[in-house]
This record gives sequence, structure tokens and C-alpha cells, in this order.
Amino acid sequence: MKFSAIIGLLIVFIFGSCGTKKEASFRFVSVPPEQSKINFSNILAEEESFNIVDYLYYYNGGGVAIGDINADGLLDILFSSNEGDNQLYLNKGALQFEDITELAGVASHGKWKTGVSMIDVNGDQLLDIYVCRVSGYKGLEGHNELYINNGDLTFTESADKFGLDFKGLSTQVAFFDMDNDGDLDVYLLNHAVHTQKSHGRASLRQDIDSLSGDRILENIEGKFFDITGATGIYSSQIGYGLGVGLSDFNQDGFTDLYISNDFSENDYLYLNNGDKTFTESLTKMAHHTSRFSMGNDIADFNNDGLVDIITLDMLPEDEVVRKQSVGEDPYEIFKMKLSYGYMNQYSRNTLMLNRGGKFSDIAMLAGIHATDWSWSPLFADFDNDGWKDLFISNGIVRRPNDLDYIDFISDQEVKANASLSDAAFVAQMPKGVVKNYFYSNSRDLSFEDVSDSWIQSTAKITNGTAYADLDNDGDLDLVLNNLNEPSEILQNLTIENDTTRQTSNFLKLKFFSDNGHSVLGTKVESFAKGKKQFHEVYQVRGFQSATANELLIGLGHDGAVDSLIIRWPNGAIQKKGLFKANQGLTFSMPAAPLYPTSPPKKLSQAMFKDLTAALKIDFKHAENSFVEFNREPLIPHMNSQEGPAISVADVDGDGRDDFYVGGAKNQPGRLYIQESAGFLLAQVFLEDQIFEDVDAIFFDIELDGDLDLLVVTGGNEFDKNAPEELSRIYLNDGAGHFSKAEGLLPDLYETGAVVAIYDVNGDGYQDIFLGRVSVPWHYGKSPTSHLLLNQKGVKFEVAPDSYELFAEAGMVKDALWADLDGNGEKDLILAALWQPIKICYSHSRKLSEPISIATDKGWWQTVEAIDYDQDGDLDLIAGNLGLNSKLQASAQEPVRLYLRDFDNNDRLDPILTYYKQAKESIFVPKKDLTKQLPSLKKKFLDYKTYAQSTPELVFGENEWKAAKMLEAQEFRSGVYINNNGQFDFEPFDNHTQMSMVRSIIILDFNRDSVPDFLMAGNFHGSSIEEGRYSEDYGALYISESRGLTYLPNSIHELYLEGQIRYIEPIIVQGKPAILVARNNDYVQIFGY
Amino acid sequence: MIRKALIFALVLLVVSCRENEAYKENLDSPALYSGAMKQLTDVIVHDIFSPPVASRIYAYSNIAAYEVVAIAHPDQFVSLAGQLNQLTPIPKSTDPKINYHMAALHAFFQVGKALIFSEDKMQVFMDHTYDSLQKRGLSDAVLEHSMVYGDQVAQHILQWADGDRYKQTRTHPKYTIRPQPEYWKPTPPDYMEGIEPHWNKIRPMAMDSAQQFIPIPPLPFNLEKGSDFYNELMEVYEVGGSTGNGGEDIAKFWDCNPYVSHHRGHAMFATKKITPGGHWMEITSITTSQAKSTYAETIHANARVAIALFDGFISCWDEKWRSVVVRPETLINQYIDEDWTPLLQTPPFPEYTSGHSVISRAAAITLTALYGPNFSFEDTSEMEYGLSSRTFEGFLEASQEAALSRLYGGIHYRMAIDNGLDQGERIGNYINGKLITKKAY
Repeated sequence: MKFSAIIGLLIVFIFGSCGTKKEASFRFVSVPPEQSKINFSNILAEEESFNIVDYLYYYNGGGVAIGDINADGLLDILFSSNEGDNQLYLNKGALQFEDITELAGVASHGKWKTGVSMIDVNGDQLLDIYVCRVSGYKGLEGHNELYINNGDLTFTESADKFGLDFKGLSTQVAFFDMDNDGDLDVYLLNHAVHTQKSHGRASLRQDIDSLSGDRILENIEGKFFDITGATGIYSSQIGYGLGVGLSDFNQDGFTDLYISNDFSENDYLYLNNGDKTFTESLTKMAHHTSRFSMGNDIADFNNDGLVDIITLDMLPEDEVVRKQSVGEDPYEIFKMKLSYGYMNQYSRNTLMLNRGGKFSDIAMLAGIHATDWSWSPLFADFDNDGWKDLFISNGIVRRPNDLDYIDFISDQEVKANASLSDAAFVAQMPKGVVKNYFYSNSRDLSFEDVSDSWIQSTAKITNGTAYADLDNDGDLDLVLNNLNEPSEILQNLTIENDTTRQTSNFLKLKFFSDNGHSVLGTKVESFAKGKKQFHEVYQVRGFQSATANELLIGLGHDGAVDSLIIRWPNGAIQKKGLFKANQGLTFSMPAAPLYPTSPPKKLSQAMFKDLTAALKIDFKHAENSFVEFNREPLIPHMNSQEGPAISVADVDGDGRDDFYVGGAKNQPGRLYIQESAGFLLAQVFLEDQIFEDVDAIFFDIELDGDLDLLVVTGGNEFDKNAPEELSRIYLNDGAGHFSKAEGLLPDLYETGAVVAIYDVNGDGYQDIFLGRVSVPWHYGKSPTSHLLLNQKGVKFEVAPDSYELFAEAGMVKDALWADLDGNGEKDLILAALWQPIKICYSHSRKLSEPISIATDKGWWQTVEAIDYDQDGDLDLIAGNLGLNSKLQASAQEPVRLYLRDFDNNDRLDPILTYYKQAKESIFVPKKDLTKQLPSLKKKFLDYKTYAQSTPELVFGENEWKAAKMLEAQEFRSGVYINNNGQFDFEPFDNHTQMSMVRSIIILDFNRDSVPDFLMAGNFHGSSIEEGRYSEDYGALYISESRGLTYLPNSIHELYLEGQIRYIEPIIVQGKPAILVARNNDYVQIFGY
Repeated sequence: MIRKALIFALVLLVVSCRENEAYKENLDSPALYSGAMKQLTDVIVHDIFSPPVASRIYAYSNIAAYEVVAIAHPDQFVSLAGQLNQLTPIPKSTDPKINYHMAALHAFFQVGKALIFSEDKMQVFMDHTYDSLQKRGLSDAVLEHSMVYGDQVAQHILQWADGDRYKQTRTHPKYTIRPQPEYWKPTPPDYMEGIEPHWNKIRPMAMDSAQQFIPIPPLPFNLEKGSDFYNELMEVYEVGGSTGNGGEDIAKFWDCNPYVSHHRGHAMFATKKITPGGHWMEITSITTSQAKSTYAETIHANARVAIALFDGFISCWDEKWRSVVVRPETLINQYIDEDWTPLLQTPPFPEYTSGHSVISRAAAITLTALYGPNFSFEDTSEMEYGLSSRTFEGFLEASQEAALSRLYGGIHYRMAIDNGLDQGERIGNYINGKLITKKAY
């Protein structure tokens, strides 16, 4: 007895020491089954009668539920098995477990089990077990099961008694208190299987389906009743529910729901109305979701007190796998599916940052958008530093979306053997075994991939996962349900490795009701040395899994929490503290609310007021349906959706600001005159509606004392010197009536972008810089921008040195006149695609050659001058693509566009490349490439060989080298600080890199006589593979004592939606306001 | 001494070659050429060419072979140079070592290889064919000289092909989906983009333009009960559904969809078949074999059929992307029955007119002119896809059935079939009248 105990100790010691010695640098170590005694594997038999061909979620795997079933202070584990028996493990301490499945009677024989939870359903303070099943489909039998805990490590299946014996295609259950009445209700997440309707209209979501539709069951005196029909949730055969998350998104005290749906159907965000009904609100709160949404998790990862959402998809990080897999739909098909009533969805993970009731998907900025075939995301502070990290489980037995399989292999198989067995058929699919991901929170809205440094990572298939402190040492361990191999405990060594016990402090909290029942949905704010964290205590997280009902807060170096604010589900709010770190605390819910149930007091104060309706402005820009990708399918973005043009001035001399807004093709421009009560539509430029207006400016051309109008034509649709490409001038008759003046401008074709005026030669007349962005049909070719000299108001002529000056100006997006060198003459600053910002200095009334202010070539969109550092000279704010893109660029790894007529058909073939895994790689999918260049199929008919080939190999080294090359190394927006004519780039922080910046306006918003600025943008004219850039709501920088400072939208409450092209200052009714011109949307006006 | 020995060896070789001329039987029978045709078809299937693009491969490769046999048999055949748009005479050679039948085969292989993707699959077959011919006595010298000439012809034909705007049309704009219900939309399950919206810009072979045989316009779109359009839509709904209706055998036999996408569970896969044009090339092989056509006649028949197919597709595609008629599946799912699926998978291009109807009739007219109206045959083309053979009393009957199969398949209205047949008939007759290839004509 004694002897064996010593042996046992020795074994533990040896294992332990080996483990720590060998893997000291890893944060996690996989506990060997010999030690943990966990011998669970979710093995799939792949029988002829039931496999991936019969059931589309055959490879989705099992789940994990964690809870303390015998109240011994040690957390126990339940694994679900799809086909075999579930297994229940009793925690014996020191990460040793005992399989008590048989004794407990919770094996749940037979197929097909999915999600699991441990929760006290009958209110006896003992954790019960709920098991979801797929039944009533293809011969699968049974129903969802509820195992009531008898208190002696045995359980009694009682689903029928409680009304929880649902028979259908269940994925997971989420117990939650829907109406805050103190008992647990149920959201049952179910999934569909393919039918002809799966591809149909979105309104099918209104039709209830008994097997696949999600359900809500209300707990009425201990029994559950299906009230789905009355709740307003969707319960249809197009809902492929793979993830359910709980959170109080709008902080009204009621638990809301996030449902991730696979395939065509949208995800749902159900706001709880508090009366047992829900309102789907995602389309109002977000712009897009993952497409094949799988598991999700909801937590505040950036410690701003607002909960964020992650949903997973299946975009591979590995470029070779990506190129072999089915990608996004072609542009027209994508559009058509939208027209069926679905929202934008992209096949990649989304990380929805909560901006205060509106979300921004920043997954690409955060660096976590591509983790391959991913199941379970878990936000948790794995290193106890006070910031939630991210774990993502991964892998699929076989990849059904392998293009070679679909196009070539399957056909051979079918032909070779007409009566081919499913198994033989499936066996040809390539395997999809990949590593799990760990991401460490970088505290700047981004994450660092630490998969290889936090664990000795091996490729395997992991589905359901849950975290919990299994060894009660104060850090979160992980339980992984692996497919076709042993499941694992990942022991977290953070505490063990923190030998000084100073860098990984923690607090562990549990919440009970006054009568000892565990409580769900408690919200906790913790404050330590001014650092805030926000947590919600819900159990269902990730995929088919549920963690323990407790909270571990990492505190890093902080040895104490100064205070905790606890918001209880019954409305009670408590402030508690101070608490020393590294202890467990238990709190009881006050019996009655201490405060009335109400949302927490708003800290924000609206700075802006929407005056659009009050001022009677009802102009909606209507972009015409021209799709540039249909004629140039390989380009990264269109140049044909750049309107509306807008310009503000007092054109009738009554002292009030008026404005012109120009339409897209087939939409006439309009002149709005301000009167005392608002704006009056004064002139419609009907005869010129064929022109697409992209910029406009009022100025006095002939020095006759009134303001004339120049409108820049864009559109990029007409070509071959069509008159519809020409910009126009309208002269003012002095009373604000405009008529077109022919012959004032030279005939300059190609696609215009911007006009900027300045009297360059000092003759008293305003001259023009006319910037152009594109040669129609020839993306990447440099159009000619021009300086046009005003010939005493009679006409404009191309300046003699214009061609020379701007020959290499490139695809110009914006131009600005500003005196950067303080010589009293304004210099010309140019922002262009694939170029650095350039300056033509003005000396002695002459422009210099354009000088690059830095080497950073970008997709520069706009530029403004401001004395940012308040040192007396002008600095430049420059708007760029931002960082929230699949395209990431740096000096070492630029994004490039190669231009060459590779197939000699008199048409340039633009090939976009980027760097992935340190290798230059072609961005556009092979299918698009070979449509334009079919000859490439001769070299690469299959996808595998193509995917493994460099661009040089694809096109041939000589051809590739001979191509003209455009580059971008910098996609961040930021400030070029003027240091005596040297410009140093200071990028903005990540809050201002979420989208393309298109407009910057400098105004004194807070009226402290120091200029502030507002930037906005977004851009939808990108390829589907890139996705829309839609995630910015406008970024306001306010002058404070420490300089210009970013103010979150949730504070100033201005949310600019859509594609902002221009923001112009305007005085309305004597007060300052901004006029916002948006592509394909209404013009708005906001007072401040 | 050495030289003498060499000469002796060569003489021996020549003598022995003379003795073994078994290969000439091959080069005089239709089987060899038909076998090569079949290989081309197999590669076309593997590489996934759409029906119009496949017709282009068949046309140029067969014309290359035909131009050689026309030179070899000036008593029987007339060159197509000057008859087909922009085709100039192929280079002539006085090299006596050329076996023109061999050269024709080689020209066919070389052009075919240039136009498909999986060249290796053609090359292996070609090498094997040449090997066995050599085993049957074809000498190195004759083979080499024939190949050199075949290459020259292939180059000439490919240069001509290069001017047909195929390359240019690769960068022509894609179709922008129109929202109105009468216009074509991509169809389930894969919602593929519309195929070849600019095929009417391809240079026709015999027609003066893609617009020479515009069919009568489709019935006006009208979903009111009792309207002609509605009645035709309901006819498809009733006879063309996946549940079966008696026409399944016919529909499946003439499916000829080069890329049928399947979704089973989570598995996606494609099954591939010959194109409609490929089916008629096989019928041509069956015919030449049954008729015991000579080698040259076989090539002649193949070339004539391929030309009819090529122009047929251009004319048909011209109409498809002019009227851009919506497929029955789209309307039935939208307005009548959401669960309805057609028996065959709807191919990814507009409905009107039916391609199979147009090209089947054009090919049948061509074959009828060559082999007579009462040429009964057993069509075994689809047996390799697990279907039974079908017997026809003549080519026109076969084309009639091919056309009607589209209604049973649930992918075409009757108007697209009837007017498609008419369109194909006009094309076939026009080409028959215009192209003089046989001296006996």
C-alpha cells in the first residue's frame, strides 16, 4: 500500500518533471492519458449505411461539458461521442480522472450525439446533464436526453418528464433565464440538411420546420413548454445552426442570443425584448458575417466594457490549401444570392468588435480571420495577464470542398465503378488534419499567433472544447474532444511557470442565488489600478460545449482587485472590494434588487445631431449597376463607384451656404439652395445626367463676383474618348442659376477623380489641378492628370509643363493645395494608388517635379493638411486602405500588381499578388485567372500543382520578369509629420485602420479653437475575394492637452454608415454642421 | 566498309518494310481515325470544356485532317480553303516519303493537342498509335516525313484558328444578371456563371455571320394562366420533373452535360459526360464504321459534321444571349413549386433556343446528305455511362429525339426545341449547299 503510493508519487514526479523540463517554454502541455486516466476517443466508423455522403455533419465531432457533479470542489468532465458511448469523468485531483460512465448511467448508447451541457435543471443544487442528439433522420433514433443527478454519482434519464425529449437534428442546448424569473429556459439549436430549398429565397426562414428549426422552451414550474411560435425567432429548414452564444448585448438586463448558421442563411442576433419575444437585429448592427458560420463565442476581448463576438468559418491560412479549396462565389452570383434576401457573408472568421450597439468585423486587422476548418472559438485569459486570449479548435477528416476532388477525382471514381461504395468514394477526398490555434491578445485590437510557442502543436482534428481550472491552481486548462484519436486535457502551466508568483495573479469567482442555486448571466466589472475588465458568466461557449459556471479573472502583475461591480440577473448591483489576488470568492445574489432594473447609466453624450430630415434634404445617390469586374475580372477594385460629388458655397449671395450634389450615371446632379427653413431643390441638371459626377467645386472662374461650378466626371465606364468622359463647367448668372459653358475646358478624356484650385501663376485667376484615376478598361495604366491654367476666365489651357510634371503621377485619387514649406505659395500634394504621397513644391509661381515624401507606396485615397503636432508648420493626414484586409503590405512583403499581356490578345492581364507565409502568391482564384488566360490550364489543369507553384512558375520566369509592376508597401492611414520638410510617418492606431479612409475634415468640433478632425470612408467596390471594406463608422480625433486624441464612437455617438465619399463643412441656420455624401445612399447633414 | 554495311542494312530495312505493309490497312480503315476521335472526346470530357468550346476543338482538328486527305485524293475531294471564312490552302509538299493518311492523322492529333489542356493524355495515345503502326510496318522515314508535313498543316490550321477571336473573347465582359423575371438567372445547385456570352463574336466557318439564321423570337414572357408562355412552362413542369414521366430514358440518353454537379450530404462532386457535339461526333464514327467508309470518307464526314456543329453553336449562342430567356427551373421554383427539380441538371446558359436541338438537327442534315435519309443505326455512345443503346431509322429521327429530350429533361420549353430544330435545319441546309467537298457532289 505504502509502496505503491510511493511508486505513484514517483510516477507523477517523473512525468511532472519530464514534462516541465522538456517543455518548460510551453504554456500548455498535453497531459498523458496514463496520468489523466482519460481514455476517450470519438471514433467514427464511416459505415456504408451512414457517412459524410448520408449526413452532411458526419465530421462535426463531439462536445465537452464541465461541471462539479458531486460538489467536491473539483470540476468533472463529460465527453460526447457521435457513435460510441459518451463518457463521464470524475475529477480526483491533480489532473487525475476516473471514468464513472457505467456507474452514472450516462453513456447515451447509439448514434448520434452532439452538444452537451452540465447544469442544474431541476433546482436541487446538483448538476444534471443534457445531451443533444440527431434523431428522426436516416434511421437515427432516440431523442435529446436529460440526466437528472441522483446525488450519488448516478443519474436518471428524465427528458420526457421535463418536456425536454426533443426529437430532431439538435446541435446544442443553451439553458438561460429568458425572462429573469429565476428559472432556466431553453434555446435549442438545431440544424438543417440539404434540400432543393436550401438554395432558395431567404423568406423560407419564416416557415417552421419540425426537425431542423431552432426552439425556445419556457420553464413553467419545472416543466418545459415549446413557445417557439410566440417568440419571434426563426425556426426553419434553412437554419443550419452550428453555434449558440449568450450575452446581454444591449445591457438591458435580459439575455440575448447569437446564433451562427452554416451555408446561405444569415446568422441571427436576437435581442431579448424582455417579454419572451426576441427581435432579430443583426442586419441593423453588423454589415456581414461569416458564411459557413460554425461555433461562436461572446466576450469583451478589448476591455472596453462592451461584449464582442467571434464566429468561425473555414478559410485556410495555408495558401496552398486555400488555392485548392472552393472559394467565394463570383461577383454576379454573390449579388444574386444577396437578392434572395441574405446579408453579405464571407467565408472567413469574423471578429465583431462592439462599437456601442454597432459592430465592426476586424478579424483581418486582428489577424485571426483564416484558421482553416474551425469549430470552437474560446475567448479566455489563458496567460492571466488581464486580457482575454483566443483558442480555436480545428480540422476535418476529409475536405469535401477540394477542387481537384470535385472536378477530377470524383468523376474518375464514379466512372471506374458505377456501384461505387460511399466509403470508397469518400476515401479519395484529401485529409484536413490541421493544428489548433492559440492567439495571445496584443492589447491593440489584434492578436499574435502563439500556436507553436504555447504548446507543442501537432496536427489533429479537434471539435468541441471547453476551458476550466481543472487542477484548481488558478489558471485555465483546456479540454479537447478530438476526432478519431484520444481526447486531451491541456494543462495550463502559467501558474507553475510563474516562479515569482507575481506575473499571473488571478481571482476566481462563483455566483449563487440567495438559496444556493447557481446563477447564470451575472456580469462582472473588475477594476485593478485603473484597468477595467468586463465579464459575463455563461456556460455555453464555442462549439457543442459548455464550461463550468464560474469565472477566473487574470490580473497580471496586480496583486489585488480594487473593486468588483457585480450586476445580478435580478437587477441587483453590488460594488465589492478590495480583494487580494489569488483566492476564490463566492457571492450570493441579494434577495431583492438593490436598484431598479435598468441599463447602466450612459457615460456618453451625443456630440452630433442628425438634421437631414429637419432640413428637408432627401437626395439619395443611386449608383448605376455597371460592374467593372465583368469586363476586368482580375482587378482588385472598381474605379466606377466614386460618387457622389459634392460642393458647398453661397451661390446666390444671400449669406447662406448652398450645395451641389452630383449623381451617378443616369442621375442628374442637383443644386440645393438654403432658405430659412431648410434646403430647397433649385436646379436639376437633367440634360447632363449621363455623366457620373465624382467631384465638384464652386469658384469664381471669370472674376465676375459669383461662384461658378466645375464638376469632375468619373464613372470609368465610357471609353475611347467618349464625350461622356469629359468634365464640365457651369457658369453662375449671379443669382445662383447655372448654365453649362462649352469650350472652357480642353477635351480631356479618361476617368476623373478630383479637382483642386489655386492661382498657381499669381495672375489673379484660379487655376485647376484635375486628377485622374483610371484609363477605362486598363486598370493599372497611368492616366494623365493635368494642371490647367485659367486664361483670364475665358478658358483653361493645359500648362506647358503639365505633361512632364504628371506623366508618372499614377492613379490619382486626391489632390490638395497647401503651403508646406512656408514660402507663402501653396504646394500641390497628390494621393494616388500604388504611389507614395507626392508633393510638387511651388516656388516663384512654378511647380517643381513631384517629390515623394516617403518611400511608402500605398493605396492613398485622400490627404489633408493640419498642424498635427502644433509646431507651426502643416503636417499631412493621409487616408489609406487600412489594415482590415486580406491584403497586408510591408516594405519586405509588398502587395503587387503585375501588368502584362501574357496571352497576346491585346489586353493587359493584371495579376495581383500578396505575401502569405513569406512567399509571394497570386491573390485571385485560379478559376478567375484561367477564365481570362485559358492557356494556363495547359500548364495547370489540376489545382494542386497550381497551388504549389510560384507566380514565376505559373507565368514563366521571363514573362513574369518582363511584366510592369506596381507596388504597395503601406496600407495604414496616418500622419506625415513635417519636420522642416522631412516627413515622418506616424500611423494611426488600430481604431482608425478598420476600413478605407476616403474623407478627412478638419474642424473645431469641441470649440476650443484648436482644430480637430473627423475621418470616414468605407468602400464596397472591391472583389468578393477581398470583401467589402465597410467596418468604419467615422473616426473623430479631438484636441486634448496630450494632443489630438481618438474618441470612440460610443462616446460621441456619431455612427456614419455606408460608403462616405466626402464630408464638407456647412453652416446651416447659422450653426456649424457637416454634410456627408455617401455612395449609393442618402446625403446626410449633422449639426455639432 | 562501314558505309557499305550501313547501306546494306538500310536496304534490308526497306525490303522488310515493303514486305510488311499491314499498317496501310489501318490507314485505310475508319477505325483508326475514329479511335483517335474517341481519345480526343475523352480528353475534352476530362478537361471540362463547355459545349461551344468543345465544338471548336472538333472543328479545327478535323478540318486539319480533311485538308490533307483532300490533297491526297484530288479526284474525290475538294479543299475547304476559300470556302470556309479566311481559310487559305494548306502548304503543299513534294516529299515522296509522305504517307498522306498518316500526315492527316498527325495533323489531327497536333491541332487537337494544341486546343485541349491535358496534352500528355493525347501524347501517350498518339505515341501508342504510332508505335503499333510501326509494328505493322510503318517505317521511321515515312512516319517522320508524314509527321513533318502533318506539323506544317497543323501550324497552318492553328494560325487560322488563332484569328477566330477566341482569345479576345476571353476578356470580353461577363454577363451582368438582369433582375427582371423574364431574363436568365444562374440555376441550382451550383449557380454557375453564364457560359460564353460572347460566342457570337467567334468567326463562323461557313455562315457569313452569327446572325445569319436568327430564329423567330421566343414567346412573349407571360405568367398569366392560359398564356402561351405559361402553358409551355406548365408543360415542362408536368413532363420534365425529377419524379419521372415516361421520358426519362430519352432525357438521360441525350443529357450530354459535360459537368453535372452533385451535392450529397457534405460531399460535392461532378460527373462528366460528352457534350452534345461530342455525341454527334460519336454518331459519325458509328456511321462511318457501319457504312464501311474509307479512311478519307471518314475524315470527310467528321469534318463536315464538325463544321455544322461549330456554326450551329455560334448561331444558337447568338440567340441565347440575345433573348436571354429564363430557364423553366427558375420560374417553377419561384412561382409554382419550390421543391421541383428538373430531371436533368439545368446547364448554365440561357434557355432559348435549345443548343441540342440546333446542333443535332444541323449534324443530322449533314449526315443525311452524306449517308442518306434511311440510314438506320444503333447509337451506342452512352453505353459507357451505363445507359442502353438506342436505335434510330435515320439521323433526322435521332435529332428529333435529341431535341425533345430537353423537354423530358425539364430544361427547355417546347418553343426552344421546335424553333431550335428549325434553326439547325436552316444552318445544315445552308452549309450543305455552300460547301463543296466531294467531287461527286
